[in-house]
Amino acid sequence: MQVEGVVIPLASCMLVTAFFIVESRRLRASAYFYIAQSSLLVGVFLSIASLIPEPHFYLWAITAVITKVLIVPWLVLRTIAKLGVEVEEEPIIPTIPSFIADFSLMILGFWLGFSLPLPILRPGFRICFGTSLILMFLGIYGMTGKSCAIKQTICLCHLENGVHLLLATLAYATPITVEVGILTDAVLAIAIMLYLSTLIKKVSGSLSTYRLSSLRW
Amino acid sequence: MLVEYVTIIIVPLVMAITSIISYLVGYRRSLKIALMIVYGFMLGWAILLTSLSYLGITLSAFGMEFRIDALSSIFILTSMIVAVSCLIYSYHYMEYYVSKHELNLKRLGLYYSLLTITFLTVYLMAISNNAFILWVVVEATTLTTAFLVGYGRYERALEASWKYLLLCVVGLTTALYGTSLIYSYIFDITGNPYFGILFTDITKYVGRIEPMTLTLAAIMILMGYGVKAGLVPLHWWLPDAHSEAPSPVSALLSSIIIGCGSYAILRWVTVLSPVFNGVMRSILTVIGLASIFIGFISMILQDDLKRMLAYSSIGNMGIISLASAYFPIGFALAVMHLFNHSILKASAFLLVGDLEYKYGRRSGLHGVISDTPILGLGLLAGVLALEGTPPFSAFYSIFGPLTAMKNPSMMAIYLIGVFIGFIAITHRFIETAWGSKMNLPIRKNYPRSMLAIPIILILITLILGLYPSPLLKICGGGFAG
Repeated sequence: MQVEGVVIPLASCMLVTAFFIVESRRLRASAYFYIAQSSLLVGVFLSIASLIPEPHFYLWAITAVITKVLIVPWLVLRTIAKLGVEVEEEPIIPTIPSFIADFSLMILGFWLGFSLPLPILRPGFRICFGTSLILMFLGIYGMTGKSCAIKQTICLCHLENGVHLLLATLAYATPITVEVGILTDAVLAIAIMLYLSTLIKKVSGSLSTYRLSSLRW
Repeated sequence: MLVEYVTIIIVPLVMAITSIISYLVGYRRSLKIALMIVYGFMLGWAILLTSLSYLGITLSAFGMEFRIDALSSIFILTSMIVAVSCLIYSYHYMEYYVSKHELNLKRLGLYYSLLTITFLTVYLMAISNNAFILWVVVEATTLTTAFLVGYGRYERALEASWKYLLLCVVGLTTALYGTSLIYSYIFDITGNPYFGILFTDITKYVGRIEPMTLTLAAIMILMGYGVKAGLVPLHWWLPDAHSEAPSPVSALLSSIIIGCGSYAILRWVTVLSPVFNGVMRSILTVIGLASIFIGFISMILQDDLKRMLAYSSIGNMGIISLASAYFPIGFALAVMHLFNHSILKASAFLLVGDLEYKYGRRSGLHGVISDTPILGLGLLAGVLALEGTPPFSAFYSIFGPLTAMKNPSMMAIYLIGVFIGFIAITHRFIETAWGSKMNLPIRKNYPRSMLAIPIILILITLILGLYPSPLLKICGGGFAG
């Protein structure tokens, strides 16, 4: 079986979850979609590992389970429960324009993913590359277009999934120390953002970073 | 052998243990003494490493995973000078800051713990020869300093901290993409998974990478680390983070933390420029000039002295970027400017911290010389040194790149940018130092160490300006090491 045959359905499901992570206004739902997306990411790694003789991908799958399916969702859900906030603050961009932005970024990601001249990509890996770009674009969009601090953090988690997929696509053979270092940074960044979110809520009474505008020009 | 292992194992271990102890024991007098001893040892070790670089000795260990060349040692020395300065300055300033923001004095243990862990990450970044580990530790510096920026826990500080974390984390991701692209290509052409990781290996194979891929990777790396360095167009976090952080943290951010971004760029320039000079020069020139003009012009609009210095940092990072485009002479001067700017900007932020301590504000001030002549004169000397007035050492690093440029139009544009910066900052600081005496309630008991530290930093650059050859020799080895 070709790598594309297995990866395409999984990558498509990841894109669906990406849309719901960014657009769902219920924070818990957003976090659950993130867990689903991370599980699909693990599925991509395991599929590739079983189809090509590349044992590194089993290692990538194990680290993804530990950090992205277990630790990060636990941190996010714990903070949501602690703050008692269920629904995201009013987003900066209204719903319909936001949907249009999501789909435009998906098209841009696909276009770049398939048109960039990268002869180094192994057969079947281009779809992973394109998906990683889309996850990154939607993550950045969510972090800037949404005003809720928790939602921005979930979008960062989503962006990190894109980074993880990209590393697995381009740099899968790096030593384990490199991967552990990058993932530790990612988990720490998310933990610090969640901690800052709780401080923001405590000090300003809201999770809206848009209301924190005293430093804006 | 001993020097290598002390550098790579003992020094980081001592810093890590100090950080943990600071957090556990909380704030007390014995902690201050212990920190002073550890930071003093680190500074001494940095001087030793720089001396070895001066003698042309490059250290390495663990299969070249760690390597200390001239660029590394000069950055370690810079960071340790700033570390000791920030530490001594913090003793009095942070007690004032904690009482001002009604924080618990015991939480200062956390402050010193974070300060030490930040310097540990900076140190690891400087000694790493691994392109991915470099990325990891640059990102780690962002995470530790995000806490320090929001240390005051008031709304503006938290906003600045949030903005800083968000932009730097996203921006640095781009650098990781670029690094992965280069790694992937080298893996593809050599078939060896280890040749695309260490800078010393990447240098050997980078010339075989297809130009289009290399251009894309170079843009991603420069843009990514450019966010950390506060280079235009992703510089928005910098003025907010610098102005809202406690003054010693602003000094640290504006010298060493944005310096980490510049260091990473310079490290990549040493790898990419020899084979890819035209493209690198174009990217660095565009980013550099944009940062010089946007940074220095924005200074004119600022009333808050800390925000003004923050915009000055954007311009100065632009100078480093532009100078490094002219490899190898300009590059050596860029390394020198990284040192000069770090020392002088740390001094300037600490002097503004003195104003805040004394007057309780940092805008709308005038006639400081009448109240505290040494502080007023220090402010004037500090900005003149910062803007490259002779005989301070920044004179060489600001005006030296002109000798490498050769193109008269480029020289003229650069000089206009530097001139705007000079006028903007000296005008405001002269106004602050001279003028009629203010009728403001001032703090009488003024710790001498808070004034002595920034003055000593200015004197260091004065001495290096009068005897520039050792610094020029070490910086000149930055690309050859």
